[in-house]
Parts: sequence; structure tokens; C-alpha cells
Amino acid sequence: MGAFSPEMRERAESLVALYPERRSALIPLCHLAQEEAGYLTQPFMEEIAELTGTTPAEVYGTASFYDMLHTEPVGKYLVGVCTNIACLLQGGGELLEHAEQALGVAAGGTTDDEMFTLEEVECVAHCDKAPAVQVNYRFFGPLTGESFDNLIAKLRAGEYDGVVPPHGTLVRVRRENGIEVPLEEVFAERREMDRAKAERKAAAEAAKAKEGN
Amino acid sequence: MSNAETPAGVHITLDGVEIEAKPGEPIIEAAERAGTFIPRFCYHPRMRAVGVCRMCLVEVSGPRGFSLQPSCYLQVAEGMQVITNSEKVKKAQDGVLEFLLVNHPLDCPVCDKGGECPLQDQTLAYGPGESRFVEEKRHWEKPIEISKLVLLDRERCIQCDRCVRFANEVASDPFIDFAGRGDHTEVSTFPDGEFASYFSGNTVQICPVGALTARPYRFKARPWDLEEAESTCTACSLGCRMAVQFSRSEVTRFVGIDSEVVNHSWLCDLGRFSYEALDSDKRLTEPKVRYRSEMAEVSWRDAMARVGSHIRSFTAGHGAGSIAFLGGAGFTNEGLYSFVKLAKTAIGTDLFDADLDGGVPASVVFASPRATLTEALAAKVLVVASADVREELPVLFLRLNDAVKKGLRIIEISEVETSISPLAVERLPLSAARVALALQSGGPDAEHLGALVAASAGEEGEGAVFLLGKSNFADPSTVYASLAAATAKKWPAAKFLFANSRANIFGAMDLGAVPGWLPGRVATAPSDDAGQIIARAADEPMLLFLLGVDPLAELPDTALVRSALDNSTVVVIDSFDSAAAAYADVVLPVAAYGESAGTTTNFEGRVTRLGQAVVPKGQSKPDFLIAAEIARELGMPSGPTAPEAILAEMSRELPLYRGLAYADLASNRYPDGLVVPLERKAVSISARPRKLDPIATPGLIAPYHQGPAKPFASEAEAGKAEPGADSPKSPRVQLPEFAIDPAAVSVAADGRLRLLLTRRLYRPTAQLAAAPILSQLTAKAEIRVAPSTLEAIGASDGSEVKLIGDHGTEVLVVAKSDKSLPDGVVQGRLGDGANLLQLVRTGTWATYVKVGSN
Ligand code: SF4
Ligand code: SF4
Ligand code: FES
Ligand code: FES
Repeated sequence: MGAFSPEMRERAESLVALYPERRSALIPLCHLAQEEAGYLTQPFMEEIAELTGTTPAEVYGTASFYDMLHTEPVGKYLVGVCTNIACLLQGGGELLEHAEQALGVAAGGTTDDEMFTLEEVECVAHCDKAPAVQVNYRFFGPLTGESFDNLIAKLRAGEYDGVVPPHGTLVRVRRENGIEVPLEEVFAERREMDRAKAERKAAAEAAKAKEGN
Repeated sequence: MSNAETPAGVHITLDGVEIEAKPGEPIIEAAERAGTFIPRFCYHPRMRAVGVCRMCLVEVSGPRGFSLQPSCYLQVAEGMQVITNSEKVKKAQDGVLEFLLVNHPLDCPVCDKGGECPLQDQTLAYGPGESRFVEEKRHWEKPIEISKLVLLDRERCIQCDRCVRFANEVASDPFIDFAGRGDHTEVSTFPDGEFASYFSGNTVQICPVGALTARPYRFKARPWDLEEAESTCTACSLGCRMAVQFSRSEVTRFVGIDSEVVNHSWLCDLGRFSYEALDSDKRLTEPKVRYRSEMAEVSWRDAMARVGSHIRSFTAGHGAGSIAFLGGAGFTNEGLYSFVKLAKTAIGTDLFDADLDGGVPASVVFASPRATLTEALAAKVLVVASADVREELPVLFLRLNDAVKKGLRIIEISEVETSISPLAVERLPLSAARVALALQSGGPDAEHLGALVAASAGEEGEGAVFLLGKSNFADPSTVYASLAAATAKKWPAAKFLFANSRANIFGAMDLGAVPGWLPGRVATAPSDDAGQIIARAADEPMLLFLLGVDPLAELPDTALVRSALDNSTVVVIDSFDSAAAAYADVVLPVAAYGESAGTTTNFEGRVTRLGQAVVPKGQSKPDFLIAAEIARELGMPSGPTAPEAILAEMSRELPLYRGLAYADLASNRYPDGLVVPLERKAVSISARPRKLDPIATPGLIAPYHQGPAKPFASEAEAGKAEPGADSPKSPRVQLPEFAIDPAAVSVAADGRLRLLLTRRLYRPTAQLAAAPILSQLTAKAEIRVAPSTLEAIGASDGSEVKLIGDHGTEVLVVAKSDKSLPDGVVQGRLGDGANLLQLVRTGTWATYVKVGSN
């Protein structure tokens, strides 16, 4: 029994087919799994290993390296409060404290209703709106304690449903026709590159041989 | 390696002195050969360099002046200038060590590695001497069990990537990886997963700190209390070189020695941890004889008297032909020689069979030009037709895995998928019998195989090496004899290796411990093999000597073996208690591994030394002494009784061993032993020992053969004037004719399935049962069939089914579905819980069984 739904499994397989090396699809597949389950459960990691010809240990090793991949449960909304320099100067530290109070969890924690996971993040390139907050990688700012509470309330009420998808979904627009790769062109290009490389190598070797004489 | 292969060098300046280096080698290697040791953690001579620890930074000249570069990663280039001893380098080393120690606990007093730890040693030699770190260190739960054998203390880990690289690249068992990031990085299995590898002990061996420890050794000894004896593993016939380390009179661990031609420093877990059994209470330590129905401990003198009177009375009553010797493949060459001499000269019986597996017979082995492992790995094409190499000769799998990455082409012939299948360019899913028949009479299979071989080897098989072995333990050995004979006929210029895996089975063959042969590969009249001897013993009075084997566990038809043992007078000569010992009239305890010196012969014919580490346990004695004492009991001259002297007699009496001297084997000149017969070309010089790099295998007390042997310029001539250079060529044995019967491949029409028996590494043996931790890994018996077959018999995956043999034997066993199997075949994997060997029908070309759902 696979962890992916049939539809997602199909997308996963087409992603794997995109790469000359199956294992290169590992990270894209992790995102697919998060889209389906919100975080990387063990069955998903096992299925990803099977799909990419790796072992679950390798999938876990890779997934645990990246901040955007979660091997522990996360809430529907992953709220990241930036405390890097620009935001810090604009009150990011206080905002994080406020967020901890408001949500009732410390940074890194998830609320009991599994709606919110709070994170302290480094600069998310939204410095012009410092202090910045990102919710499932959608940006908000500048925020005060009050506007933060507002944001949370709206998220809870579902008012942002069209704008902020549940955690795991990175892109909401799906290509209508799946992913099309002009494989013939890619292969031709690769062949050409290989040929040029071989030529350069031969030339270099010929030059060397000449030098040697 | 020959002179011809030695490439022209490049010149670099190392600390102001010009040296010659090999093109493409990393600076660290060139410097080491020149005598300059550069400290390192992550670099291992047998693994890909990754340059992650930065301990090996040196100053290297470049277009923008000197800069700090990792010497393990950077390759030498003509004119390169390298400085290893400047202030800048020293400061870098200080810095790297200070950072490594930031999160390293002060565990040394309670850490297994303390005393042989590269981190300790290099901190002392290259470190800052003082720490400025006053904060709290990392804490992890400790230790965690990453496998049954290996424990991990994560806070000791310095993230050198050795264990992970070993698992991924060397063993192809990527069940551990780095998880997390920054100071949260940890070596980890998949949550709830296990580092289930046959080679996990190697990660403990190469870990440069005490992060990975082996459960059987943990807290057993301190390194400074250890002594070591160089030796060879005899858990299979590959013969990995290793050091037996011991403390007072206890063997405490085995450490792999880096032999260029055999094991590249690796050991499998079965070999590495087999010492666990040495101290168990399942050891036989006292001579015993049966008084009425009870076994009683007696003196050696009384036991010998009983043995002597048995031999005399059987000879007088039934003739010497009523005395038979089974087993001995676990003995030393000296012990085998002495026992064969005892049997065939003193007693006068021809009945001696050490090969209870019925593998490729000696007549074929002797007649086929043998390749060395080095030749096989450098072959144009290697054809593997044997049981799964990883289960039979584990470390050979590591060598093949490595060789394939370097370009070796493997063709596999196997009905089932094995560990070799992913390495092979193609797997021909054919039985040995089918291939033999095809080669004998032609056909598409033979043509296909012919074309595959011809794609890289010559017409006559020049450059091709065949690794042949028993792939189905339900087959009679004649199948394999036919296969080998047909192969040699088709490719007369090919070379061979044979995968009979029992410890010293090739020594046993060479020394005449198999039917039809006398010591020194000299043919004699054919005689009964183990199966026939047992069949006879069930009917007529016989005196059976069991030399370290339990025929109940090894031969098919357990009922027959039982009645044979019941019916005969049995003398058990063994180190471990077994089921057969219950039938013994006399039990003689023989010194176990590491308790006596001697030599052993591996599957290439390579003779190496077995080191004695401790004294024999209890009253047990070395094998050759027991044979000598029996001879003396019979009033015969016992001959020499020291291993050196016995080997001297062997090399005097047998042309096969001419030129072989114990002193040579014990010298550093032939660290990897010598291949018999000592024809010049067969002598492999593995370059001279190198004494540096104690970091490759921390814990080795005398790190002589560390690192790949790299003969270079004048060193390559070390191969001159080997012993045996002038020894006479031993006569070439003619390959006997073997013809295979088409019945061997016939398909049963009545729904019966052909039985295909395979073994696994942790198969139940008396020695494995005696090892407390290792025995937890004992394989369980199971069968595998194609999904359609499973459905046809009305069973489901994992359910128990009944197998019914042709002679009515019934065995209950768990069935699994396996997509890779063809219909019509049932693969039985031998193991604990069900005796599948019982189903084997002897005296036929193939065994068939019926499957009934339970
Ligand atoms: S456990 Fe040992 S071998 Fe593995 S990365 Fe850590 S220090 Fe290196
Ligand atoms: S492969 Fe064979 S010789 Fe090598 S360690 Fe394992 S059992 Fe011993
Ligand atoms: S510092 Fe907070 S977004 Fe850049
Ligand atoms: S970086 Fe060179 S030994 Fe680790």
C-alpha cells in the first residue's frame, strides 16, 4: 500500500522520469509528500526511497537537512517570524515574543489544535516590510502585535483560504498538461556537449603528446 | 603489479625537498610515501576522498601564491610546492582540532577508543593544548543501537563521513546517513530502521573516534592491555587477513588487516565477531569417553587408548576400509596433513571427505588453471556462476563491488537474484545444469553466453575468469563438475576460481582430505564421498571420525545420518558441542581458532599463517598434535609435532609446497602469504609494508600493511627472486570428462516444483550457536516462490506451507512471494526452524517437491 494517493503517485512518477538519475527527484518528491500529508511521514519517506532507488535512511538524511522539509508533524499554518537584523531593529524580537504568547507555544512548537506551528526564521528577503512574518511561505508585514493577532484570527476563520494554502502546497497553479519536457532536444544537447568535451580532451592530449616529443 | 604498469611520475616539492609522485594521487599519499605524515580524519586509503574534516590542510602553491588546501583531496601536479610544517599550517591544525573538540565530550576514560584514538593522538601531536570553550556541550541520548552489533554515541562523532561512505559506497548498504544540519548533525538510521549490513563491524573499525562501538567488544578491554597475533579469518574460504587481539588469555577482538590482494582491510561481521564463540560454555574442553551410556571426562591418555583400541579392533574385524574421516575443512593445513597421513598411511583407509557440501570437486579444481583474486578483478570479463557471493564469501562482494566501479564487467548466471545481479551487465536466469547442457550440446543459451563473453574476452576465453560454485545446494556435485568441464572445454584459455566456501576446503583438497586424492594433488583410486560413507555406515559397522563437522546439520537425509551415527562407533574431534557429539563414543577437544598456530589455504590457493594468540582452552589440543598422538598410540612414528616442522615436511615431501617456508610466511616480505604451487607468475608480491597511516585502521598494533600497496619505481622490483622461482612446475592434472544428463533440466509435468536451495551468511552452525550476540542474527528458514505459484498452491505471503519431498519427507515452512523467481521453482533458503535439506533427494540430478497449503 503506497502512501501517495494514485493521482500524486502519478505526478511523482512523472517527476522521477524527468531526471537522468532517479535520485535527483528526491527533494521534489518530498515536497509532493508534504503537499499530500502536511509533513513527511515515515510511509512517505519509504515510498520516496522506493521511487528514487534510494533507502529510507538516505531520504531521511536529506529531508532532515532542509528547513522546508519536515519529518515531524506541523500545523496547517507554519508561521515564521523573522528576527534577522532588519526585522530585529524594527521589533522582530518583540513580535516573536508576542506570537509565542498569542499562540501559547514556544518557537518550534505546534498549537494543540494543530492549526499553527511557530518558527523563528532568518531573513526571508522581506526586509522592506520589517518586521516580517511568513505563513506557509506567503509574506506579511510590517506587523505589530495587533495586526499579528488579526492575521491569526483571519487564518483561523478561513478568510485567507484562497491565498494561503495549507502547509506543504508550494504552488497552487498546476500545469494543465502535466510537465512536458522536450526529451529529444535535451538528449541532443547532451550528446553535443559530450562530443565537444571529448574533442577538447583529445585536442589537449594531442597537444601534450606533441610537447612530450 | 608489474614494472610495465608503473606510470611516469610527476615532481613536487615537499617542504623544500623534491619528490616524485604518481600522477593523479592526492598530496597526502605522495607525502606519506616520502615519509611525511599529514594528520587526517576523514581520509581513508580505501575510500573516496571527501575533504570534510580539514585536518589535512597544507600550504600549496598556486597562481595567487600559497593557500591552505586539503591534501587528501588535491591531486599532485607537476611543479607543485607543498609546505606541511609552516606556522600557517600549524595554526590551521590547531583551529580544526579546537573546533572538533568544542562538541566532543571528555569521555576518554570510559571510551573504548581511548588509547588508540586518532582524535586523542592527533590532538596531542597537533592540537592547541588548551581549550577556550567554556559553554555547555551537546548532549544526546547514548548509546543508541543502530544494529544488533553496533552502538552509536552521537556526541563523540566528528562527522568524518567514514561510516556513511563505507555503508553507501563500499558495502552498498546505505542504511545510515547524516541527518540534521550544523551542530545538530548526527549519524542516523531511518527512524525505527536498522543498519542491517553484513559488514557493519567495519564502520566500528574505521571510526576515528569512539562514536561507533561493537557490542561484543564494548568495555571488554583497554587498548594498551591488548596484544595481537597476525592471522587469517577461516570463517569462509576467502581468507581475509586480520589481527587477533587478546588480553591475558582471552581473545578480545579481530581487526582487519589491509591486504592489497585479499580484503583491503575489511571483514564481514560473521568473521569479525566469530571470536565470541571461543569463550562460550558450548566449547568442548575435556576429552571424554563413553562408559556404558554416560560420557565421562577422562585424561588424554585414556581417551587415546580408547581411540587406539577402536582403530585396532575395526582394522582387525572389518578391515581398514571400515574406518572413515569426515570433515576437517576447519582444520589447519598442518592438522589436515597429519590427519590424512594418519588415515591414508598409518591406518590405510581411503575414506576421507572434508567437503560435505559436495561443491565443485577437487578433480575439477586441480585441472583448471586458477586465477588469483587480483587477476579475477582485473579480468576482461568475470563470469559469476555460484551461490550469492555476499552470503558465501562476503568480503568478495565488497571487492567485486569496488572492481565494478573501476570498470570490471561481470556476467552473472543465476536462477535467483543475488547481490551480484545489480553489478552485472547481465544476469542469465539459468540453472547450472542448463548452462552445462547448453555448453555441451549447443543452442541459443550457449550462443548468448558465448557472445557476452566474446564481447570482451578472446576466442578461447583469453582474459576471461569464471567464478564457479554450487548455486543450488540440492544439486549433486556432478552438475558443477559438468559445468566446469564444459566451460573449460569451450574456453580453454580462461582462468577459474571456485566458490566452495568452507574455511580451509582448498587446503583440504590440496592435502588429500577428499575422495580420490592424496596429499599434494596426487590422484589415487576413487573412493566413497561423505554421503556414500554415511549410507554405508547405516548398514555395516564403521568407525567414524568427525573432524569439526556435524553431519546431522550438513547432510541431507537426516534420518539416514541418524541411523548411521547410531550404528557406528563415533569419535568426535571438535571445538564445539554439536548434535552429533551426543552419538560419540569418544570426544577429543581440539584447540579453537587463535589457540594454535599453523597455516591455511584460501580459494586462490594462497597459503597464509594462522597466528596463535592464547593457549588452548581447557585440555584441548591443536589438531596436528591430536593426529600425531593417535599415530603414536598405534605404534607409528608420529613425525614432527610443531607447525613449522610439519610445513617443512610438507614442502620437502610434496612438490606442490616446494619452496614454502614458515619463516617466509611470517616475514614482512610476504605479508599476504604465497599462492601454491610457487610458480613464479603466481607469486603475488603485494609491495612492501608501509608503516605509516595509523589512522586507516585505528587499533591495529603493528600497522604494517596499511593502505593500498603502491609499488613505485624501484619498489616494483621487490618481486624478484621469490621463493619457488626455480621450483618444478607441478604436473598438470587432466580434466576428467563429465557429461550432464538432460534429466537434470527436465520439468516435472505433474505440478511438482524443482527445489533450489540457497544459504545465507548466518546459517545455523555449532559455532554460530555458541556466539551469544551473533547468534541472535541466525537466519530463519523460508521458501520463496513466484506470486503465481503462491496463488496456485492457495497460500498467501508469509503463511506456512507444507513441502513434501519425493521420498515422503514433510517440512513445514513459511512461504514468501518473490517476483523475480520463475514458475516451477521453489527457492528454499536454509536456516533455523525448518530443515529443508531433508527434502533433498540424493542420487538424482535434481530434487522435486510438492507444495501443499497448510
Ligand atoms: S560515527 Fe565515526 S565514522 Fe561515522 S561520521 Fe562519526 S566519527 Fe566518522
Ligand atoms: S569474508 Fe570470509 S574470510 Fe573474510 S571475514 Fe568474512 S568469513 Fe572471514
Ligand atoms: S531581516 Fe527579516 S526579512 Fe530580511
Ligand atoms: S579533509 Fe583531508 S583528511 Fe579530512
